[in-house]
Amino acid sequence: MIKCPFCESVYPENTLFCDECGSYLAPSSDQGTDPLQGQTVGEMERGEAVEVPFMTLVLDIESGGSIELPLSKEVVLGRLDASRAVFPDVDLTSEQGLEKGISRRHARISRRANQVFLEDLNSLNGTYLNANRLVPELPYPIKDGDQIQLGKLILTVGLK
Amino acid sequence: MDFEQDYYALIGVSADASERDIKRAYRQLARRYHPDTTTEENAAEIFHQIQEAYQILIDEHQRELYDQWRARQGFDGPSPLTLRLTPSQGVMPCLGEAQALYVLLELLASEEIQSPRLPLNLCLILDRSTSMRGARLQQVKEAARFIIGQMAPDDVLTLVVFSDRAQVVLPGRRGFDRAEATRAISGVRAGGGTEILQGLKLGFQEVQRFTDSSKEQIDHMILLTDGQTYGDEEGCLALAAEAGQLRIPITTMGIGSDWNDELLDQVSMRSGSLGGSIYIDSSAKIARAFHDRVHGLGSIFAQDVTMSLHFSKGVWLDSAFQVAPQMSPLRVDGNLMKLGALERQNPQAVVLELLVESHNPGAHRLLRVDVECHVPAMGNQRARVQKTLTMSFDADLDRRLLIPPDIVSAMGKLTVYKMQERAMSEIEGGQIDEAVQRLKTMATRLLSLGETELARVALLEAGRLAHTGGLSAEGRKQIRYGTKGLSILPKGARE
Repeated sequence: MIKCPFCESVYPENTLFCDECGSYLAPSSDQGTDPLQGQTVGEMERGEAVEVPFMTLVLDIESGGSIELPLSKEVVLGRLDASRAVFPDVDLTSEQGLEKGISRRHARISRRANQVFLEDLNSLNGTYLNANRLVPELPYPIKDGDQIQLGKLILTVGLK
Repeated sequence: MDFEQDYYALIGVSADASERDIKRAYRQLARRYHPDTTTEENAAEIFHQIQEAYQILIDEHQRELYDQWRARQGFDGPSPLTLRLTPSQGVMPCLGEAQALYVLLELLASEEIQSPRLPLNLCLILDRSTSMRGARLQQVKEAARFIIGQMAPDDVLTLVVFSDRAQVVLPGRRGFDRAEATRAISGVRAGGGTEILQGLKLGFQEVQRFTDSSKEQIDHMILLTDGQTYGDEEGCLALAAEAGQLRIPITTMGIGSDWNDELLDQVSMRSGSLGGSIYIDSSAKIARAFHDRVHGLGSIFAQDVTMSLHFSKGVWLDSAFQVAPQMSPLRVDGNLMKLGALERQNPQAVVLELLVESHNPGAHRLLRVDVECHVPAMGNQRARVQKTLTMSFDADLDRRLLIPPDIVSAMGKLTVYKMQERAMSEIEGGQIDEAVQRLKTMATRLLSLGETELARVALLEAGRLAHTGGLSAEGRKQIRYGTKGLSILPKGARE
């Protein structure tokens, strides 16, 4: 028998989900996000937005290479984890996502009117815009040339 | 003579195997499962089956009879159906207690067999009550015109409209006249109350004029309403059951938030149309819903699909759910599940939750699944596929098992669906506090599935429930149909 760690309901061995509270019961593989050491949290002012009708987002990765995405819909950055049905639009697993402390659903980039926004999705190790940590769940306007940091991974924003 | 199994598969040889092949395969299996030499559980039963198969296949006359029976059952030739069986784990630990096992069953139409589109005998039963006036009726007319455009010359289309009484605006006939149909739909005006039974009765009567006992056409009714019907619910359900017996399924669609979802679900399910009713939240989506339905009907590949489950000793079925094309509980009658029609573009998927007793180390057969259906493209003969699940049990299994993502994903969504069902029944039973809590927890799960919009609605409604003791009609429908729509698509169906 196994017990749900959240609501203490009891189920047969190998049960996948708790019917009572919906929690995932199977032992999860070691894929959790570990906290990074030595973080600094700085206050940032919410800057002025630049109004240009951007259509394409280019993210330059520090290690070289870049990702180009249309801004027609919102883009979720994170780490793919099929066992939890998390499928971000941009999977950063191959960019050492796990080692660099990137959460499964880390941040979101979206375009509203003619502004492009970055929003931290309550990630464990935080999202930084030009070295300032973002308050989770609040959209911040970003502009061409801005530096985004997800955990320890640094990306440079290009807007076309 | 009645045989029950695929004996060739049981022995592990092909249907054209020589006597020598059969003998060799038999000897190997017999050594493995002989009750004197093995400790494997069920060995005696398996040994007995192997012997039965061997005795029939080795006897020339018996084998001929068996082959004839096989041919009738549709075992040979390219199978028109693909049945995929995926267990949540390929090996199970030997525990001194029962454990859970999940099995995903996916049923797809074979790519190899061409199936022409079958003629449709379709009856649209449309609500024209006063509340439909304006954009709704306009969109319904648009959608009906679209369907008219999709009809082939040998299709039959009947158009029935109803308010407090029903009338046939386009009588069905063989040889479809597009211009006449378009004129008929243009003349429909809104006005009156909503009496669903009136519409259903007339539609049912009309559609039966063109039914064909050979079933080489698709008989179907589509009911669209936006209102509650009063006092004739029992009549609607009885009529749906009757339609089900004649194999004329009814698709039910509700538009807006004032209609009775439970009733429409029941009408649809009793008529043999799986998955319940369809919710249309805005009039702009009527055309889309009609489009999807008519395309689905046009791609019907197999009808009267039944799945039967044969469990070995020590294996029990806890529950069975359909997870694609829609989330819906399945009724298991004895060991039989009726799955309705299989549409080529909408494969079906079923998840079984099993409870497996403690087994000794070694391989054990846990389950056999038989699927039978009629495939009109193959001259309506019975087609059949069979799959067995053999599980190996390991005494010292210590590594972590990777559970197939499809199963985790299906079960995660199914769990949310079940929470929703429980919350709704708690509300009905007056357990408001429990339901509020459940809706909130459900919202958290929805968030982790990335369903932010549905999660928002669930939270909003949890708040409303706590304050007013009830859900809004719209919120209730969004939650019910939203969780139902969390279904998974089997591979091959993805675009």
